[in-house]
Amino acid sequence: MSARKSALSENQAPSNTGRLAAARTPDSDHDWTAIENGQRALLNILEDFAAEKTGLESGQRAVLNILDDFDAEKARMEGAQRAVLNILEDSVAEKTQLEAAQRSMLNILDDFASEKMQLEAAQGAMVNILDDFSEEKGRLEETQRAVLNILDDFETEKSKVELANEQLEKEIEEREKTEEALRAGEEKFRNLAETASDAIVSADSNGCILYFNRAAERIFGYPASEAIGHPLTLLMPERFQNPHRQGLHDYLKTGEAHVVGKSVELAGRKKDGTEFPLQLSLSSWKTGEGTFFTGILSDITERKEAQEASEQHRSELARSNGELAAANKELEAFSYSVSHDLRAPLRGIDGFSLALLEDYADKLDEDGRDYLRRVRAATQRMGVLIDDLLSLSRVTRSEMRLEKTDLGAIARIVADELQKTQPERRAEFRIEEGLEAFVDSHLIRISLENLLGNAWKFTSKRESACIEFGRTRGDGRFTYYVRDDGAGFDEAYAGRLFGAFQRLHDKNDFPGTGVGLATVQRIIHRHGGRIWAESAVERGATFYFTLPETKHGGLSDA
Amino acid sequence: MLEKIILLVEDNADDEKLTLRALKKNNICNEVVVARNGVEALEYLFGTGAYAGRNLSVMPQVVLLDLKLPKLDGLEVLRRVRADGRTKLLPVVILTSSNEEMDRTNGYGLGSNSYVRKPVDFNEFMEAVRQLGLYWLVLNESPPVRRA
Repeated sequence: MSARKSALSENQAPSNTGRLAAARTPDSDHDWTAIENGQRALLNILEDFAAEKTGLESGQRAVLNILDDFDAEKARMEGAQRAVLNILEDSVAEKTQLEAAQRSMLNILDDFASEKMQLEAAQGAMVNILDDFSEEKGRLEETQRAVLNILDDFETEKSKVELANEQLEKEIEEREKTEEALRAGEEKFRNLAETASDAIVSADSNGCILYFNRAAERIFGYPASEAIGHPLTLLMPERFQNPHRQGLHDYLKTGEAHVVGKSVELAGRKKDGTEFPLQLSLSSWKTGEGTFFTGILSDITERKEAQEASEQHRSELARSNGELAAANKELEAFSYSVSHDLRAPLRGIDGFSLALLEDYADKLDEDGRDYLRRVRAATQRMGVLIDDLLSLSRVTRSEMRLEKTDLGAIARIVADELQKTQPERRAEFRIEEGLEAFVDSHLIRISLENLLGNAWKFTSKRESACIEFGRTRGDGRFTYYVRDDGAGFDEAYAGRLFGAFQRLHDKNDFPGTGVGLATVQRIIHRHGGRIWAESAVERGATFYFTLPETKHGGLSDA
Repeated sequence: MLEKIILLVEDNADDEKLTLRALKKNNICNEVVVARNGVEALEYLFGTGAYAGRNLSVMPQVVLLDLKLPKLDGLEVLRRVRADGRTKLLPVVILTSSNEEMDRTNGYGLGSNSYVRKPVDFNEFMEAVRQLGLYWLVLNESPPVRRA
């Protein structure tokens, strides 16, 4: 103020002096001085006021500038608010909240406008208001930031919710599909279970029957209504009941399964108390409601019986096989012994009989010599019998080796040998070519030796003979035959033909032991064939036989 | 030249007598040593037991060996004869009652030089012995004797 006062006094001094000079009146010097003093004080006040005024004017300008700034700020804020409102359009709740914020802001701005009017009149209040305003602005900015944050969060949250919604919808759709499939599946399985031929029984963890299908009703004899709700022990013989309870208890406690997950053979008990063997496949499953069991059971009475019968059959077969093997071994030992031991005494009888005849012929009369000759003949016959018997037994014992064999070629060799024994005989052998079969050639040769030998023998009293070996096809299979035009036999005795030691002719007419045809029959039978004969006395005989036609002993399709 | 000895291994007295008769009838007068079981046969061949100290440079021209024998059977005798260097090449003829396939297979398998079945008919037996004597004592050249 003192600087302002001095400036006033320097700048306004000339004009103040002029006015004072004009106002000096003659009242008094004293009065004049007092006026001059009062005038100076007034001038000082005026100077002060002018300075004050200038200061106020510049303060006012500053305030107005601030207000201008505020206007710009307000416009900017309103712009920002509008932008915020645009963002808020998506969410009604947010928008409402924001509108409330906007409203409060607008109210504040309104308040501020009236404040402004008042400010123009009172600077101090204005400064306060400005302070308030800047606080308000800060608060507003903070609110705005909070709003923006909330909006950001809201966007994130919203997209999350949308995603979750989408997933939920999908899940619901899938669950509906699943439920439908489940319903269809359940119906299918119910039908399946109801129509199954095996009994299906379900039970809970107490062993209490929950489900009992129709086959179970049939097998156990209980209607489902009498089984459901009862313990499984209802279906068991007493001796299985405690093990069952123990097993169930152990399984639930330890999970250690003795029957679960397996297929076992047990016994069941029907309503009428009868026991029967059954096959049980047991499974278990767990739900929120606990552990459940399902057993599939079938009555295996028939299977068991068949099994037992087959086992019995097998053991019988094994036993008879063993017996057969033992018998064969015995037969072999017997044959070996016969071969060695039975012939030795015969040699003695024959040898010493001959020694008697040679060395003591003069001491014997004709009868004595005849007896010794009969002893020798009988002995030699016995020797042949033993050899034939051994040959028959060998035919039975020997191992079969089937091979493709030319029967005609064998027959030709046999025929040639027979012819050589009696070259003088007029006999024709008619042997068919290309008779091939799968046979044991050694055994079949023995057969042909016997059959052709018989034909040779029984035509021996004829002047000329015709012996045939050939093959016909009847009933779809080959039949071989050996035919002669010799003595033949009475068919009434045909049944005895193939028995060992059976003879239809006097041994003086036709020698033989009666073992030959028995041997032939045994050989044909060992080949899986059949042998029979046709004849009439003095009209020849025909022997027929069949043989395997394929490698494996079967018959080919003709 | 030493006499050609025949070793007859035969347990049956009748067969022994008949064989000797057949040899005699066929004018085969060689010395016949008879062993009545398998052990005796080996004792003779190896100079042990009853034949201890026998001159082993003298070996039979042929051994007529029966198969069914007490103690050691014919096949076992044959096996031991073939296993010993002194008798490995000795001619051995199996002369027996049987013609069982098993006996023939085993006999030849163990190194028999021949297999003859004794016929029941003594005339046939005589003929067999005649041919055997002719072949083994006259025709056949025996292997050189190994000196012990």
